Amino acid sequence: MPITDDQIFSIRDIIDSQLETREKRRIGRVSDIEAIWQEDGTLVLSSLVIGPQALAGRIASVRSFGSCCETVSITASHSTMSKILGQRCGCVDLRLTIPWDSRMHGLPTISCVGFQGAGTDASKTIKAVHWKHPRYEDRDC
Amino acid sequence: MKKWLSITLGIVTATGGFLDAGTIATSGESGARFGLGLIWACLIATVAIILLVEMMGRFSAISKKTYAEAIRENFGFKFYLLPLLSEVIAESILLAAEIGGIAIALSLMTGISWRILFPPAAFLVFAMAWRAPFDWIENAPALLGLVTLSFIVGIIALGGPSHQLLSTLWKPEVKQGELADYLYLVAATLGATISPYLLYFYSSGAREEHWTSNSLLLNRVTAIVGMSFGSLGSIALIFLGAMVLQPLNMQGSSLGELGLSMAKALGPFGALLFAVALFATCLGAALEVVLGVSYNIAQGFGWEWGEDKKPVEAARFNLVLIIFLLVAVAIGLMGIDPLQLALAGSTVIALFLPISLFPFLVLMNDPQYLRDKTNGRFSNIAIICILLIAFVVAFVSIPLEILSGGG
Repeated sequence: MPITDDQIFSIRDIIDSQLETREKRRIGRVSDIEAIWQEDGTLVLSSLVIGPQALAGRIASVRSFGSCCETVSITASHSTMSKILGQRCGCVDLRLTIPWDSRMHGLPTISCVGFQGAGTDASKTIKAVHWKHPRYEDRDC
Repeated sequence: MKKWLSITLGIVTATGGFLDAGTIATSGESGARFGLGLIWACLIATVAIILLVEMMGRFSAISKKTYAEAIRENFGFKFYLLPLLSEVIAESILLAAEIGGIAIALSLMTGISWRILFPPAAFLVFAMAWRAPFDWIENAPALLGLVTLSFIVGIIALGGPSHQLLSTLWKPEVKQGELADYLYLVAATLGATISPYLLYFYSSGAREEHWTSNSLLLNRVTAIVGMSFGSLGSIALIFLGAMVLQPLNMQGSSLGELGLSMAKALGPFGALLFAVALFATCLGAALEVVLGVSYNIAQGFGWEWGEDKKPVEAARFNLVLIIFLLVAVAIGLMGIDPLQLALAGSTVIALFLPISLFPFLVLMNDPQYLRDKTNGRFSNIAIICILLIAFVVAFVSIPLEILSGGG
């Protein structure tokens, strides 16, 4: 299935977006993303992090002011990272494909469709991220 | 019919809510010390606030976002900290001044020391911010604040300004050694009128009242007519200070002293009108400041917010409100005169204006937020010029004022 523009977001689009429960209760903004990069090249989003600890990390980082890329926590073995990134390292801005229905129901599995230098494709804005946050998954809001 | 009622109410609240401790302090002292020589600064500041309020309402109505939300989303968290910190520092000083203004107004009515009345005044602000619905907070103090228009009656009762005084309009009398004070008051006048807290409050109010693109007429009329009428109170205070306090060589160095000009014009009733005006404007402004900062933090961090929500439904928003109020009370209990606090707060605001509002200009030119309603060239250039003037004057005058031991 071809990927439309509406389905492509950069991490920068997600970071700092409003996080709401499905009942429209505002619970915070996305401060950090934790994802697991798998051997087959797919990136599985494991958690959207909110709260002071993640923010403190961003304040402490002096690199690339205004960019969010240093805040993304990606779990992957060294060999996996090398295989995917090759010799490229440092500040990358991942382009992610988010299936539309996944955005509405729980944490999705995201396919990594490409990466490029920070700030080169951060033009889209998510009005609100309607993912269910793990902390609130079982809560009756 | 309902639409015109909304527009009328918007004009009335903007008129009655224009003044606060900062504008009263700067206007009164400006008149007492430099005659009409600072009205130009008041007029420039009024143009700026009209443009900014209109932009802020347009932004929130079209984008369905508040200013704080947009800064965080568009510029990221680290950038968002800059306007947030500048806002918290400047507005905590100003909130202490507003609460002090309420205490002084109560003191003028009762004869009890304002220092004793400071804690009850703070509690009044807390009780209203905690429980009152948004439209009460927006409308009640502003309607009472229409008393400020009695300042114009005071000028007429005094027989109007002399020709000699009118000449200071275009030829300010700045004596040797007073240039630092003059510049300090220019900066304070600009900072007092172009208050970012008002913009955060207005932007959040537009969302609280669910403004849409149909609200743009209401927004424009409120901004232009309401703010223009509101500035009349500020200009009238400059006239009163110049006509009554300056000939007596009084410096207008306390809020109570400024009330003498109305007492001279209308007797004890005039003094009472001044006290009521001071009470209403400072109460309205204190509520706007405390809510403006709470809105800013809650929206920036993505927490539940809303004055019409029960405190338990927006717990972190209300916690910020309490903490910010306690900080202001701690500053106020140091015993510094509210007028001096208001001047200092307003000058610090002027210094921080570029940090607070330049991001807003970027957003106002972004079609992703405003579609075809982005800013025109005139608005952009006018706001950039005024913000730079405010910054430069504040940057120059604050060290001069400290070195000369004034303020």
